[in-house]
Amino acid sequence: MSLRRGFLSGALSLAAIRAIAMIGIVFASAMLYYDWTVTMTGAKPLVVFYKWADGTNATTIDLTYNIYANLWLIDDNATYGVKNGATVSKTIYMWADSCNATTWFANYTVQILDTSGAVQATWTTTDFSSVGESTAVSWSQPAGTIYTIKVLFKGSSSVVVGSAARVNMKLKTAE
Amino acid sequence: MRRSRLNHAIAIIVLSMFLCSLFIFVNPFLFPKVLAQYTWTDTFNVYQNITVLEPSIRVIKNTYGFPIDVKVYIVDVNNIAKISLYETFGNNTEFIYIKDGVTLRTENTYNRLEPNQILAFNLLAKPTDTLGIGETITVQKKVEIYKSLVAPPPIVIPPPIVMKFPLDLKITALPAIVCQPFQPSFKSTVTIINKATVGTDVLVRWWIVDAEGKTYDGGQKTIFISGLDKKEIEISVPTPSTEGKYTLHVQSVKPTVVIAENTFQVVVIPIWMLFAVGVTVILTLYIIKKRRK
Repeated sequence: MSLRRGFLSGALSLAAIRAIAMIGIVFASAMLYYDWTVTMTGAKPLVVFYKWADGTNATTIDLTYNIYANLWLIDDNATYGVKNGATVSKTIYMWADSCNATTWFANYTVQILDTSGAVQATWTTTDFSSVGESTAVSWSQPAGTIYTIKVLFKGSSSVVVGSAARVNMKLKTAE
Repeated sequence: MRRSRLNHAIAIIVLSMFLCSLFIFVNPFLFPKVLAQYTWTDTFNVYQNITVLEPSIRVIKNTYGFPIDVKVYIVDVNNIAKISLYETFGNNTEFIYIKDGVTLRTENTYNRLEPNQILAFNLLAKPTDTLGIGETITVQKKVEIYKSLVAPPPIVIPPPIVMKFPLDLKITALPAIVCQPFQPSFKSTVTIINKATVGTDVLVRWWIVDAEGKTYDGGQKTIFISGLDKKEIEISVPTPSTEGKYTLHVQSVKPTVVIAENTFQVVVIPIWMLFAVGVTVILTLYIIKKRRK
């Protein structure tokens, strides 16, 4: 008899737990559902780097120079320019994202020149203490134009012969 | 009998809970049921070596009259190996994060989007160098909106009590036995340590209490103690006229209350005993003098 009562009591307790679980499920029901599908398609960007030598486009470029202590190095026309392949004018932003040898540069400057050679934007620093998107400079580039990249820098006395400094520059534009 | 009552009670509780849940479930004013299921489809281009940002690609505005929770989770990803970076974020919350073909965050919930508040979803996407022109990557997600549960009352942790002028006070010298009427008062030494970095005036008060709890006045004194310094002061304590065990209490009243205490014994020599001793001494001297003669 007492075994039966115990069983009944246990069953009721189990039922109580189930009921509480049910209530929990009821409370946890969502009111709204969104099925969200994002499809990304590989494409060619409209604003690219343009290699003057062969007319090819690139989305990343490496510009390699020697650096000398206390001397300026000026590259009036880097290997690549910036091409706006869109049918509309684009505002393009440029900044240095990082530098692995901040003490090597007494001055580091990148300029964007338009087709007439006029300076449209200048990103410059003397100590790389401030880099990143907040330091971006911008220019407006008409459709179908290619602008020149001019690089100027002066090595500090900290330059180590045989080692390399890497400055990572970034461009940004709206589609 | 008792078990039977208990079973009845449990049965009533279970039934009540079931009816409550049913009432809540069927009552749209208390708990809205699933209102609708929508489909969002977004398509955009991605480029090798380029990170594409789609700001506010989807926006949820809370049009309910109560806070809601917004849960976002991944259902399926097609061509995940071609993803260098994919992130869904908004209102300082990261919901989905895929890096180099590996899903590092599959879901997250934005809790308590208040009425009329907006949750704007942004996407960041960068394919691998191997993604061909025209090739696609598809990320299927689900967004679920819940009514926020009532937040539990916040647990208030009281801030630690920081004494503005932490002091330490000790009775460093006190005679164990004091004799009346030879010592109508006696001296005790109290050491006060100022643990604060700034100096302060310390008002010290003292009194004595007998075994029955009767209090006898002592005195008070103010002393300046420099920051992180200590000073010893000598206090004068009036000796009670009644024999017994007493407790000396010394308290710093300002700027911080600290109490120290110690016990001492009062021994009272009666007048008649003093008189008797005096008479004895005089008589002794008189007898000695007589014998010499």
